[in-house]
Amino acid sequence: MKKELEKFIKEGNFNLKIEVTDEDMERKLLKISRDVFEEARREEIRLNSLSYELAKKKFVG
Amino acid sequence: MKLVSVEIVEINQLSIYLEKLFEDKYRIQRPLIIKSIDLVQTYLNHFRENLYVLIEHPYVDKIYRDSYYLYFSTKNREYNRDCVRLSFFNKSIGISDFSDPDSFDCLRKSYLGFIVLRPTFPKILGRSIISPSIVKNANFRICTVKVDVTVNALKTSVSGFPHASQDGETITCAETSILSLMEYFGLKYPDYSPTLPSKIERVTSSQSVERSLPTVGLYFHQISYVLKELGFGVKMYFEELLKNEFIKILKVYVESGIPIIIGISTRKADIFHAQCIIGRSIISNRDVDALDKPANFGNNVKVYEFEDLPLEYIFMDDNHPPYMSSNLEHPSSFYPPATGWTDCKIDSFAVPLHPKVYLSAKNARLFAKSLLGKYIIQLNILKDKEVILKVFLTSSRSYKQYLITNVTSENFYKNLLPGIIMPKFVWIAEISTKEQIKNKFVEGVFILDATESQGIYLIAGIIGDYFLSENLNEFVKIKVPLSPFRGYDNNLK
Repeated sequence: MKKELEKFIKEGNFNLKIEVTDEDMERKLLKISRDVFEEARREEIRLNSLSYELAKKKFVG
Repeated sequence: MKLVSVEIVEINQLSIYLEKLFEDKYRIQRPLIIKSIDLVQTYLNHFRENLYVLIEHPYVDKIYRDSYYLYFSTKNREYNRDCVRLSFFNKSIGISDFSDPDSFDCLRKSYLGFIVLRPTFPKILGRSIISPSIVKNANFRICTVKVDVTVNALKTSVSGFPHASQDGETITCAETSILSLMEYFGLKYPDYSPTLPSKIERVTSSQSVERSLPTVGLYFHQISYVLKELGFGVKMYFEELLKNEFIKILKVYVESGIPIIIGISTRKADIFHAQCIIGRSIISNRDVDALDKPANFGNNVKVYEFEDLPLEYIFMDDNHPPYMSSNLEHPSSFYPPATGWTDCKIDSFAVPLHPKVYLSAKNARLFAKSLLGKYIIQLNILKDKEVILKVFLTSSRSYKQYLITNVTSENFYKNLLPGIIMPKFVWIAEISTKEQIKNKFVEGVFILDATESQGIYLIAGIIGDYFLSENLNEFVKIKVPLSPFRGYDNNLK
């Protein structure tokens, strides 16, 4: 991703540069996303297992 | 030789004409005719005045014919197989106009759609596709499909959402909602096909331990199963599990331009009813000003949720004319009071997603909020601002088209955005202030991969003068100042 963007900026002669994020900060940012995702995944599995019973309601109009 | 009978009447004369037609052609008893016409009248009361109606008989309707051969023809009581079709025009027309090529354009421009009346007295209201402009209060934006129609041999078209009402024997509210939904998707996208009552019956009976005709409605899991068998990657949601988030997720899907099937119920009156939601009222400045209680995301950044806007939503309810509106907390407010219906709440909904959309609205909202919160703190952006977060799904094709025509003030974006590899569908989170959203502008956006199921993949983010991108392993940040730009506005028409 970074390499492709660097190439894009260079070839397009854009007066821009990828800002350097120190490794600790980058790790921290990505960890936040990973943690949020893992929690969401666990919640999705929990809800899915409870859905089946609730779908047994009949709609007759 | 038999001829099609064609007649044109003003809308206020329609009941009188139908009464005579039903007596002549269907030879049914007067009380049943009156009951049937009363039902038609409820539709007409919802429509504008000064309309003209072209009545054709006999008319072959694909859905009723299917029900007829599946079921009605097998009964001892005799049912007619032919329907009546009512076509609506907003200008005075004459039969001679249909043989005068100079009048064709005017006929096409004034055409507002059709309603089929099937001979299942008194539940005669069959399939219809009516232009939203026909209703008295058309202050809404909905999912629409353009449908080709032939009226008295003239080819024309109408844009609207398909609607039908139940006959109570081959289709109830649940099957009717599926029929409407499939007609919409089938006519709009090549991936799907419109369906018929016999197909729904075949799909449900393959999973049922009891007979399916005459129908006694469908379980919610059967509704979902039929949609899945017809090509969707369905997601079901239940109020009991999601509580406060339930209605918000529903709103996100409506904002994504996806018609959904909802289940409403009240134990008090033993009502269990399915219907579709297809759009919402137009957002006014007053709606935006009414947003309150923002969440503090840090750095004194206050974030409102778009789903808290106090909007009305548009229902396709088979007990009512098309395009009824109500808020989602009281989804049956258009039913007469004291009938028990007004106590109904939405308890479930099924979303017919494209099978390749793996990221759900619930998680897309969660991920968008998490990214926003994280960048507000780490990049020190949007300081002391109040912003609104709006999340929706769209196709990357439509979104790229929008991007190149709207975020073009900066050359970097103009060149970069169309070239980014995106999946068929992307979740979009738009960030705007109250004033910006009133003028249909935004100042930030996150584009999320809707096919990623292993983590959060931010394909591109434009916020606080930064371009951002984040996948499972890498984070990229480039300073690119950009002024507010027009928000995406293509999901609802």
